[in-house]
Amino acid sequence: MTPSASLSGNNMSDAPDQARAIRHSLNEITRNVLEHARGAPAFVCAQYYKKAGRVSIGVADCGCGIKESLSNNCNLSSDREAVIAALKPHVTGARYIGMYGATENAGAGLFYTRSLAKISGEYFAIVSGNTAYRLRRRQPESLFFYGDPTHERHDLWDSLLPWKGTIVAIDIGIREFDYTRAMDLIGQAFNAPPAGRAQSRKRPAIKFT
Amino acid sequence: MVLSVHSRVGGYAENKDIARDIRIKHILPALAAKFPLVVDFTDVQDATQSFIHACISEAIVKFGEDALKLLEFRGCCSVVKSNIRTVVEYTLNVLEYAPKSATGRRLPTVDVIQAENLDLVRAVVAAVAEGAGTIDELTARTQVSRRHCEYRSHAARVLGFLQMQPRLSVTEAGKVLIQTRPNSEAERQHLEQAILRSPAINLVAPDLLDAVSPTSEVIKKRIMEFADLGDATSERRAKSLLGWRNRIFTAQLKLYDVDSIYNR
Repeated sequence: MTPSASLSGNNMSDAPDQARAIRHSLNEITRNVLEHARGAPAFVCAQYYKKAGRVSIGVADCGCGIKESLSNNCNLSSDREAVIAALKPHVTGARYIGMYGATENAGAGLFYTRSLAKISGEYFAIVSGNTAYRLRRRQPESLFFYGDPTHERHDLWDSLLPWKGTIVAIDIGIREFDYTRAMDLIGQAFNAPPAGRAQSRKRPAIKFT
Repeated sequence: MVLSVHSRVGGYAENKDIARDIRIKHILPALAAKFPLVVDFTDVQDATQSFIHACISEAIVKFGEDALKLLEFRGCCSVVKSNIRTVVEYTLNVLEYAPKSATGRRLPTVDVIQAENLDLVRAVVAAVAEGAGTIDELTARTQVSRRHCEYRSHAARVLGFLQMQPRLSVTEAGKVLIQTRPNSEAERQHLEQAILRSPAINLVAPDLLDAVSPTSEVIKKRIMEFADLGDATSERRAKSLLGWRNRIFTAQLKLYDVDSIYNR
């Protein structure tokens, strides 16, 4: 499965923002399979619900699950802890063990994906091991993103029949929203400094020409 | 030099394998040589945060703010600009915040090596193989101060050559080390593998033996981050690690074993 095969190369400049959000989400969650499921089989499905006005995407892999994938970097005692950790910004199973420093990965994909679901007012769900987390629809303050997913309105189950792998499901609402502004806001939320720490000095400008 | 992203990925930049190629083949070498580089996103209509991260994050970790002086981003649409700002911001944060709370991983200070010379670490392994079972016995056998014996023993332990409890003992990897000829290619390869496999070194310098060397400043920050050591101490230990890198990559190897020829 290569997300790039089906997703890149298309001219999406005129695509509606919802389409860009769908592409971004699908890309991030299928990439996660490639990078963390250790070559295990995976399944992708999607459906457009015209009447309800949403697109639903589901990706299920039969890999090692989130708890094992994160075990290089985090001490996690349960699937519940692992699922919640994976949804937080900057938590990753990638090789370099630091808050932001992985060469290939910043622990942003799931944070961005659940934030896009929140903006579009729809569900986001993730299942791994015996735990499932679901972001509820129509959240208040839909343009504010909590780092801790349990601060959002959510459901959490931690004694399900175990799924040995990871399932991610996201709904994107087919209504107007500003993708560029959404990415800006999510990026700002992702970069919020750790609690109690303010940026200590001015940083050099990025040269855009 | 101008690097066209569109010619490599088309209008949607999401393929991280290509991003990695761009980073390794173009961005890191240019910055290492202190060449300005224009990364041209003209006609790229969208890019994922992951793509931008895989392109530039390591460059900023390795070269710090100097990377921003040498890199120029041309023709970026608003989403690409936003993602570049996001990635630059959080990557610079790594140099500013101590991210202890993110993973909870801590490193005992004795695991941050303070023995600059790998040959002297080898000598300690050899002395233990010959019977030194405690630091005091090691001190007596090597005629080196107790403090330096401890430094070198811990370095050997971090590399997987020694166990220190209940008594000093040589591991299988240590036995292989002392069977190699000093300054030989076999010894160099064995030391290289030991560094690559060491969890403690991977924590603070996972890129120590990468093609492009990390700076001592970056390693120092990571040591401060994970081991709660002070600025000056962390800097000394970072330089010790870079000394190991030099030993692995630039040490003059013996072409043949002169000693064994004359002692035959």
